[in-house]
Amino acid sequence: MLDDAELVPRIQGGDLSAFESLYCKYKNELYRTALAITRDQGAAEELLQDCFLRAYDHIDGVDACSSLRPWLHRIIVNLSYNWSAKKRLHLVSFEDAFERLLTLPRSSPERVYERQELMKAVDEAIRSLSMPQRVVVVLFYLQGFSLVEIAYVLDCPVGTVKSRLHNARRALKRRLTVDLSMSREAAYELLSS
Amino acid sequence: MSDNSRDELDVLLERALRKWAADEAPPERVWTNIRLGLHDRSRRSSARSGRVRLWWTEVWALAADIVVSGRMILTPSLQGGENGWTRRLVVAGPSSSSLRLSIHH
Repeated sequence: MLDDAELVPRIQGGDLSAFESLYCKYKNELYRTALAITRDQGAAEELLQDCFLRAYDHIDGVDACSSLRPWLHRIIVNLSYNWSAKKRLHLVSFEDAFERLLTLPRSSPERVYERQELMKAVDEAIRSLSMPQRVVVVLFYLQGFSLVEIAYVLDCPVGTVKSRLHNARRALKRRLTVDLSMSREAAYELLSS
Repeated sequence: MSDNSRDELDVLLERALRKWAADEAPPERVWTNIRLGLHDRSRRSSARSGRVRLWWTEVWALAADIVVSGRMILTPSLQGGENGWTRRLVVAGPSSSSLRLSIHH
């Protein structure tokens, strides 16, 4: 996989194959971010498309030495915010996606049931978060961004990110403690199996 | 909360989200649409620059017409068209040069 520092000058020179390489490199994680925020496959596809069209339009202003990952996430998160504002955050459940996860053949019926309960609880808990908290949770837990990187993506102070993540964790903990009859250790064991 | 202080809840959330997203990938049509979008943009962009070129061509043609017309109207004819003129404008030099006021008695 080519490095961003190699791809950027080529894209700036109008090389479409370099742009396709960039798309292939980041499409999955950007799509997953958009999907985790919007919970709508059609919207996630549209946002990914708009994200790369915008990236192409503004690639000339990009510093060729730095990674494009935070910058691309910044674009798709902004687009997700715009989308949710238009849609008034019409949420589609994670359940369809979870369904595939839950029907893993290696699982016993009891395990499927337990896992189903756990995933439903996590789904409900994440769904209950506000949009800013959910975005921070997705960037932190799903994409593994640091707090500083999230602050760049959201264009806000690190303190704001910390506060959102702290409040999100507290809300998730409260919610999961109520919803789950099993301990977090058991849940962790279940998910890691 | 710092990046390092992780507990079971963090691990649970991370694993749940990553497992959920693991198999998700955008369909091929997204890249097809992006390519179409880029093609459409470049076509519109070249059409726009074509329109700008055409506009400048029109401007220069109009300017040339004005200069030529000015010469025809204001320059005296070979048959002694200065009669009755006390004052007139003469357009002289290339089209880009400014109008020069010339007074003849």
